[in-house]
Amino acid sequence: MPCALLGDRASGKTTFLGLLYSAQVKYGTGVHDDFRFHAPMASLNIMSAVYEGMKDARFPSATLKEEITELSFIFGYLRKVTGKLPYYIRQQNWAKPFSTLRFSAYDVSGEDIEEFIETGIASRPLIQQLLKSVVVVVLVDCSKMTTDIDTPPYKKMLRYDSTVAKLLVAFQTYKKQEYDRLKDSGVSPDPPIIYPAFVLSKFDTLRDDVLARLGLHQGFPEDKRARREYAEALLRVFVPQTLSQIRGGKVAGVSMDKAEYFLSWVRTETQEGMEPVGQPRIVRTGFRPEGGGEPDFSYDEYVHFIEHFRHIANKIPDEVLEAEKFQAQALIRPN
Amino acid sequence: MLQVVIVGDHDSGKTTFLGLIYATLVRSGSDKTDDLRFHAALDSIEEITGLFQQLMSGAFPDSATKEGMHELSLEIGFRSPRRGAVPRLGSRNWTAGASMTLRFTLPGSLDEQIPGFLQGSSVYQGVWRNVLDGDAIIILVDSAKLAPKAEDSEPGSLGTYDGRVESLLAAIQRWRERGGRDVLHPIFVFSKFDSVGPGVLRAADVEATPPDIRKTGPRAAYAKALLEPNLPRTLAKVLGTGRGKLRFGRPNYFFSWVRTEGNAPGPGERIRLRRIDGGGWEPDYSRDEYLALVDALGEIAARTKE
Repeated sequence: MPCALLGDRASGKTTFLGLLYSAQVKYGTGVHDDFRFHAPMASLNIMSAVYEGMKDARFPSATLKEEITELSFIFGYLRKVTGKLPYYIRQQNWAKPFSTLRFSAYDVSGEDIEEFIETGIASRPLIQQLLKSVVVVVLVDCSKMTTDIDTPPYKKMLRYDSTVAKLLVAFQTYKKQEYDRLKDSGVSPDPPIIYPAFVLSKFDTLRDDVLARLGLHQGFPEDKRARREYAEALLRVFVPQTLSQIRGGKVAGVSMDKAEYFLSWVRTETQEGMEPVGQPRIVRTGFRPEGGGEPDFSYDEYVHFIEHFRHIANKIPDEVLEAEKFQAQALIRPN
Repeated sequence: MLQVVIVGDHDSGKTTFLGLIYATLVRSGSDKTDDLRFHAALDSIEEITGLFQQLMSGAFPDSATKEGMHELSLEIGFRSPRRGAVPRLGSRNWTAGASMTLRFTLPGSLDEQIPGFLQGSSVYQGVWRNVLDGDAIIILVDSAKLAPKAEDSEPGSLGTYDGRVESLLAAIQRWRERGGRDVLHPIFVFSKFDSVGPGVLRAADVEATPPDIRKTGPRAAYAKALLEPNLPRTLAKVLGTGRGKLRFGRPNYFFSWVRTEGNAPGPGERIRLRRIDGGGWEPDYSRDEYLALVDALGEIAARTKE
């Protein structure tokens, strides 16, 4: 399942992926054992380097960031029914205990799909692959949320909003075109759908005066509806075009209504009363029975993010699953 | 699809007007009440997002933006029913088939790019060609150029513009003799209405602010009082009973303004941004008028569909 990851420069894309990997490692080695993951070698090399760095209190380096264009993981979710079977049966391959989902994240910038926006044609295979994304993860950098309209962060956010709105319109247009093409060729495809996921990155940097101005309390709510309202209140102010195009998908014939919202933060070392000098260092957790020495980050939110894909996995359109199966077979087939 | 043509003089605020329509839709489309949804077409998104960025930064459109902005295509759906017959989309469901497509065409300034067909040519091409097939025509009236009724009954500084709009309407009438839709809906938009001179208002014997949007009769009377001395030929054309195949729908009137920061009008003039409920900002402009305009276009679209 292709998944586009949209984020501005320095919005925390690589850190997000590093923390997602961290969460996968922790969640996938938990006592419950109902989630497992596998990473192809290329992705593993990069992510383990990011992970190692984070365990050493460092944020990903610029060189590492440049290496990332596509990352994939295979998520395995224990099926509910098989979860109730005895352990030795669950371990048998024939029982197919895990439903799997290929999570491919592409790092996307506005320029990447400029060709499609300008000409309506996606000629590069990577862009075609990207436009097929069923999940679009939009990173919104909370450190750029400001109520001071004459500052560079405000202008950066304005520009970012335009870029993401453009990308979303491109995704919607491509999906609708593909749907119409399949329909014209006699296939009965599922109505086009995109699952947007917003990640409010660097949430710990969101200033109190901004929250106060927007009438929001500190801390993200637990309840699903309250989370949505809280996140949308922020998005409405800082990325209104993006939000309007997400909602407008339905009138364009591409449903994008099932948006989910997640937080991301990673605690950094601060010294009382002093401005940090140089690159901030990540705070690591102490050692406990369930693990330790890991970055202190919004782990529960990342688990929530991983679990979100469990629900999406059951809703992926048939033609996407077929295409993935075909792709997987092509990779296995000897030359 | 509803083809909406926007005509106006040089510097009459055409691009700003289009940007404010988009700003209105962005706010309504992301609003908590969720009563309106819209989708911008791929071929318009690049230009319109650039324009939006400028307005939201407090800047009026620059010349490059004005040069590049010729069309805006949008798909709009309403949750509540329009007064006309726009299909009700249901209280919860939004469906693609029940929305309307609006295509705004901005061919250029009538005083700078006089289309060939107004100069006797029978060749209809370029973006002006779309003007001839429009379902609705938005006639921008630069309120800064409005003049009080002259003693000698000569039109004021809008006289030339009046003649060109009348000729354009006549050309559309001629074109439609050959076929196409038989109704054209005229919409007058008074741009820069905050800069209308007090003498003009006094001479027209009207208040400084137009009547409420819901009071269509008094609004029409208010607008006509200002248009009669300035665009008499255009007004006569759209209100007259033409003999041709094309007839004009009942005109709509809207008043647009956008507040600027204290400095004097000119290239450095900046748009004032205001806070909105729930946080955030938007240009300080006549939003209610724009909402009513979108509403009116919805009604026209519904009538055109019938």
